[in-house]
Amino acid sequence: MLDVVGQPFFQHALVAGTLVGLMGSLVGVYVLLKRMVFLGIALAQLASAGVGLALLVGWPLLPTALAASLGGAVAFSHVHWRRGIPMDALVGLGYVMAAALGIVFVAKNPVGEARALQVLFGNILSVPAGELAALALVAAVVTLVHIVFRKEFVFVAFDYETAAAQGVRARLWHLLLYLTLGVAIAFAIRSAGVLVTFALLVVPALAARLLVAHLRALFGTAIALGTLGVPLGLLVAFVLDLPTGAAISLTLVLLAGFALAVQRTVRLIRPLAALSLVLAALTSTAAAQAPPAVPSAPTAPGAGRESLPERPTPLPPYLALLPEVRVEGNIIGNYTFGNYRRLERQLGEEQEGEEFFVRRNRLNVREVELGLRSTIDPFARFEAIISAEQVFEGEFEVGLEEAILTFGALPGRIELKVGKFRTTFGEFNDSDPEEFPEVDPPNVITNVFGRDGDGWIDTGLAANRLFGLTEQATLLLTAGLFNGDNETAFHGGEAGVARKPTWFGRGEIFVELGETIGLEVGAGYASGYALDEDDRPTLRSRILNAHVEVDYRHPLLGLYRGVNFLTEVFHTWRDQQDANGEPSLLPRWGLYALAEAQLAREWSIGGRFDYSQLPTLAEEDDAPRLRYETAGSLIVSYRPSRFLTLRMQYKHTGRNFAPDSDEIFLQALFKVGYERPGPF
Amino acid sequence: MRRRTFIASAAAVARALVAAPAEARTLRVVTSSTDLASLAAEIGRDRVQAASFFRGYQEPELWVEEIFPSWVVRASRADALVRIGLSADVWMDTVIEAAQSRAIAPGGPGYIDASERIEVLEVPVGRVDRTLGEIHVQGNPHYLLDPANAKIVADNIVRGLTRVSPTDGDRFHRNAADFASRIDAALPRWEAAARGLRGARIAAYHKTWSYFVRRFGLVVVGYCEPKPGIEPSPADIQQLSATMAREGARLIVHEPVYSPRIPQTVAREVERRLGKPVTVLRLPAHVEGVPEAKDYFAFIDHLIAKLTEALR
Repeated sequence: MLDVVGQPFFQHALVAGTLVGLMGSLVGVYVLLKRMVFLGIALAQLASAGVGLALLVGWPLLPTALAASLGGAVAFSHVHWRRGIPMDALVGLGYVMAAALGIVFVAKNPVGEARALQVLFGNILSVPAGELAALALVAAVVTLVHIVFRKEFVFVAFDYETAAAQGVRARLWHLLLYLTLGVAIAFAIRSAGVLVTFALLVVPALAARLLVAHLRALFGTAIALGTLGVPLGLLVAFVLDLPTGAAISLTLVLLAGFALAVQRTVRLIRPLAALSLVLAALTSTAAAQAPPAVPSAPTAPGAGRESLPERPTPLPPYLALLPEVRVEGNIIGNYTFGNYRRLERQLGEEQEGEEFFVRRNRLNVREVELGLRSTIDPFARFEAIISAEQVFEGEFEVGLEEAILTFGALPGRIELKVGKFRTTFGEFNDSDPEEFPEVDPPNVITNVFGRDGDGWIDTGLAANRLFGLTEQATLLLTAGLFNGDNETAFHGGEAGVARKPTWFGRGEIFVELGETIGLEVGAGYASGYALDEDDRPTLRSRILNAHVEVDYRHPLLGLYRGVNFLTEVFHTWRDQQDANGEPSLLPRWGLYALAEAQLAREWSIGGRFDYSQLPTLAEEDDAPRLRYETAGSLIVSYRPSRFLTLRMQYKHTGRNFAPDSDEIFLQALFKVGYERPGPF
Repeated sequence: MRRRTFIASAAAVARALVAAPAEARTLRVVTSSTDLASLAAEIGRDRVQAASFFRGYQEPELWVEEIFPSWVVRASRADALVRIGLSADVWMDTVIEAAQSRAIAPGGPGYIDASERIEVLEVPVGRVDRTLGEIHVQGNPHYLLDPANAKIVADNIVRGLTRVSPTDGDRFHRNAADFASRIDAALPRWEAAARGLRGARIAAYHKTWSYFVRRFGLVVVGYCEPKPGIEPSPADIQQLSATMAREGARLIVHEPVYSPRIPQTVAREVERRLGKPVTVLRLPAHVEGVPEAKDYFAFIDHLIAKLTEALR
């Protein structure tokens, strides 16, 4: 099979592929930087419409394609500096026109259809020697222009307005950049087809963006991926006997995925190594001390008794009394489309210095948790959760997430918890967020309790008591006193638990309707203080919470069918001091409504609606006084086993103070070790 | 509203405070499964009010995401608690913790682990991890499907109930002896009735029946879910069909909690290979799993009758 490599046409193809790969991935970086992937495909489509036209009227193919592509480039570079015209719309218009014209040209020319298809879907195998020379020349020129003018190009690509303002001849550079783009695309399409060209514009640059941070490395990586990927894809096409265009495109994607996987694995090793060392130490001592396993005699099914260890050796006390251990991991990928840099600029100010729930456009090991729990004596038990949490790109913070001392044998069946824990104020704060059928936390949670999305975790004490009202109805009353450590909700607990504690009270009623439907209604109120300018705890922050949850599970086939609906409202009133020290009261509210239906044993589908006002005043004067977000999500969960959940969430967020955003989240959640069901 | 809630909670507090001593009233027993409730009722008779958290057609060994609050209230008022043990009903630990009753907590008089002194089957040896699926790390917990084990469980319950109410000890022991003698009397009858089942080859959804088939001599050639808790793959279905066809097995039993879809697929595949009809049988795995199986004896009767009918 591989002797084909010696054939001249294949060598031509290899050279052409390398050139196209170099050129495509180079300009692809700009396509990505300028967030104009759509422009790339529109230019590509224009070039192919040019090919269609050329075939129809008998013009030479390449010049026509080139003219179409360059014309498009000039036009698009022009619309860019017309304010008020959305770039996307015009590019989309160009794309639609080009695609439609291409179809019309080809349809009007039945003889040309086969050829047009060949051109559009690319046949890099049939690049003649003359065209190869032209391609080499163009690749050299494009590359040279990009090397010479790299600074200017990067400047106009990153920030056109600033470049223009600083007197750089932005228009000129911009036009030149678009022209090289048009030329590169036209030649690439002529040699390799639309699919490969578009793959080259998008995949290497995108992968490089995910892999490296610095601009120079970004170019290097993208070009390396593109230049290697195309010849590799050709070989793959030959070995596996696949259509070349598709094989090259897939190879590019796989190559990018492989590079990413290698990088992420290397990054993962650091935080995981520490945890695995601890675990390895624990298990190796356990294994060394465990009683020798007695092999069972192989028996026919149902034929005889299986042998048991005759006399189990008891574990030594230090092993028998070890706390139960569990490890949970949460890996999240995020892809934000649209103009996310502008979005981050606008949102960034307030989020700076705070932990992000997820970094945009990255794959993140969000968190790895090590849980330890044990009874202490007949009166109390202890649970600690130590977590390695990603706070910035690739940086982890190991910390104590929860440490709870629970007194479970007090008179009157009152349960008292002391330490740092998830306050049970509201349904979200009452549950392990990872048990919620969603990847990102509700907007109201991040707005009221902080961007990390963990909800309200605080240090203090809480007591609860469960009352049976009837056979089917129960009432849970909870009250707690805390430092108010939550930065967002209570200004960071400056007042302190002993001076002016943050407190809450909450009641929940559970009604079980038959064995299939559970109904839960709860309400709570929390209050805390922050220090004013004179260091006195006068700034009050109050939160009212209410929720309703309905849970249905099929009485018999509960493994396969269930529906859950949960909605929760938070209303906050916060004392604010404006720039002049004048106090004012800021009432704000938000809610989320979450529904999930289990369709099969492993599959669930869900949706969420978010509405949340921001409980703060904007720092800019031109921002609306009442700022809010509205979001809709679609969520699909796949659980191959009870210990692993793979989840996807699509979320659209609209804001009245910043651009809209569209996000796709991918999540992998796993748990090993001990586990306990939650108490309702 | 607030006032009514207050009255209700005050009433609950009052109830808890004035609860009469155990000797003077019927003992409240809560259990994981209907099997255990049925046995507790056999031993306690009119002195005991036994109720299971799970219904007979449900499966207490399946993972419970969240316990019902009413379970906690019932457990906190109970004099005794009987659990399956062997880590099959881990959710009971949450119930016990939340109930905060010393009586039913491990070490308390009313805490009864029914699996004590049972000779447990299928205790995994060697390397145990989750590549095997959701296996029972401490062995198969369906020990009550062997009637001989019912006597051991009854004995565990007698000990527990006698700890809770020593004055009733003699009565409980008499009832347990009576139960044991009825089991002893029924065993030959069951074995005779199940003679037709001996050597019969069947397939099952889950490893529920190991104790039953050991007692009555059936042979389970394969499982729909070879890795517990993991939905079977097409390869698993193919493999089971091939094994069944090779072994001539023409009956697939599944517990009520499992969908008949996979067993039916396997059955069609085996029918295609063998050219003979294959039966899918939904078989209750616990007392009260079907209305006829109203107590332990009726339950075992029902299993043997259904299997005999299906294998005829």
